[in-house]
Amino acid sequence: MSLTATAASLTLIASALPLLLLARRDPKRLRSVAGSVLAPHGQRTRQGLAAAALLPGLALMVLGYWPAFLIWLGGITVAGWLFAQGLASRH
Amino acid sequence: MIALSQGRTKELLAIHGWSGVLLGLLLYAVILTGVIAVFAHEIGEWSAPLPYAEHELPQQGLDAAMRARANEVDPAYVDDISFFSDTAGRIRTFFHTHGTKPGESTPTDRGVEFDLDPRTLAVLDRREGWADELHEQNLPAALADFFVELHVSLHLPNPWGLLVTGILGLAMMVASVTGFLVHRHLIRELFTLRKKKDPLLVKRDAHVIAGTWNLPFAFILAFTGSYFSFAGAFAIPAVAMVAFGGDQEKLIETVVGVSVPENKTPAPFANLDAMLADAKARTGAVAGFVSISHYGRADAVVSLSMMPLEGELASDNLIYNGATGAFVQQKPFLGQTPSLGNDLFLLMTPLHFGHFAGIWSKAVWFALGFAGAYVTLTGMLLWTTRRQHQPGWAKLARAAHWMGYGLPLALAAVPLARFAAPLLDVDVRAAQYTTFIGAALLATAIALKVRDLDALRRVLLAGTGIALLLAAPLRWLTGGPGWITVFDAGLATVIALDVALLLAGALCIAAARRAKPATLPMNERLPEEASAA
Repeated sequence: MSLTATAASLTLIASALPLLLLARRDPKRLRSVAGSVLAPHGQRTRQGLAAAALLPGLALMVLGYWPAFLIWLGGITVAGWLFAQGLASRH
Repeated sequence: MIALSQGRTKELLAIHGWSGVLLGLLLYAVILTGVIAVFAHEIGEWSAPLPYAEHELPQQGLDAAMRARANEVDPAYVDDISFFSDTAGRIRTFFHTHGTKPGESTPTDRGVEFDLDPRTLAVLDRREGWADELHEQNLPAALADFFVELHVSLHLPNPWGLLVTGILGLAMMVASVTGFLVHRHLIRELFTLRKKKDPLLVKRDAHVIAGTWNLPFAFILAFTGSYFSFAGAFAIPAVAMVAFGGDQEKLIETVVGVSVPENKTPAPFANLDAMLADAKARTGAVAGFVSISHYGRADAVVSLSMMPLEGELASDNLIYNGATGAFVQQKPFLGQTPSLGNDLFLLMTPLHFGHFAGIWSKAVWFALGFAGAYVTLTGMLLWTTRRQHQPGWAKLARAAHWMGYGLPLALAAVPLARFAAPLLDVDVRAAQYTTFIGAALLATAIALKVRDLDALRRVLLAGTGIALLLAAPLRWLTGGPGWITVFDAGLATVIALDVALLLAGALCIAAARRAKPATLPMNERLPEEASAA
């Protein structure tokens, strides 16, 4: 696996986890789900998770790994969409 | 959230919807074929595999292969020579000169094109004629070319096809920007998809969520796509007209080429392999495209476009003296000196094609393109089906369903023609066009016959699923290599595409079995409309 693929994969995994946590307890999403037992995240937690999701991409930018950054950016937007779809289909 | 007045929101919503509906049908076709075109090389390898996986231009042996071929073509055709690894993995070698085809005014290329084996450099195919005729004779790249050309120009003649796709790119940019502006809770609703609510909200949420996540790339892909279309259709001819008396070859030579005083004195050509080795030593990269001007003359020039290095988006362009083999300069692709324009130009290609990191970046670009197609389709269906009880809108809703689900059916039928045509001894490219048109007409007939829109969706999806499921078995039954053979040869692409098509076919069949309400309530407003009222 090339350096670009490795860097993109690792940062995508590192970003996807906080993004999933963010999506799972997103206040607006939970309000639209009837009977949800999950408590929504507070504002500070949301901001922290959002920062954690963006940080790997920022690191790629700072290091100048532009191909890996583009893959990360594209991958994280697709992941966000899929998380929204996946979490909605569970209810 | 961007604060807008009610009037402005209403205007933007109207622009968003109308631009989507008026141009959405064609825009959807361009995006969907773009999604497929991301994998043009893989499609080429899948449809016409060589006995091994080879995707690079060989850096040794080209010199001998070039001299052997140069000796057997018309001497006029050694004026310009090019080498590159094409979509089907062959080394495409074009010996040509420039001329004007009888009955036409625009200069074009005429010469002999060889397909060389990437390992042995043996001749696999030889074609002679004008550039468009050579293109029509190229069988290995036929399937990939079909999808790429549908994406680039909708198979319309130049420059009209490029103009249409350029305008569609602009429409996509308009829809992206207006969608961004009218959506009042962009961040707050990033994950809100209400599945158990009324059908209108469910469809609205599906469109908005996919559109929101896809927004940055929708803009990038639309901008770069428009750039490529307008550059070919309008910018190059216009600049050529103003500054070069209409001579586009002269314009390209001036902007992209190397300025060398003309010297027709015969001179032996230096060793190409040595130049390739020198270029690799200087840049660390291998050449992806070789261009030779004035072979066999004292003013011969060799231009080597190198592949991007690991971790880089852009690549180098090296110039050599063809008569001496001496390195001349590292030249920007545009102009003679480094410039911001050249840097931006170099960024356009990887940003649009997504091929800068092999299969990894292609997979992401495929997903982004798929999301774009999904946003366009859901937007069209949302806008038209909820108005279908108003005069005229029922036909538009039907047209949206026809294009949305009929186009995939027509596209899925094309590989079947690709594999069946040689057995039936008919021209492959003609068979592909005929099958595409035939499948589109069949979808039209079904769209006119089936009154219920959801039933129409399900019938067309089922047809697409069947066509996709047939592609891999037909490839194998018509003489294509089986999985064991391609696995031994290291052609993982062939197996991966077979599996992907079978999976996609199964998913289409599964989706066709699910009924959905196709009519949306008219008396309810979308959140954006409510805020604009």
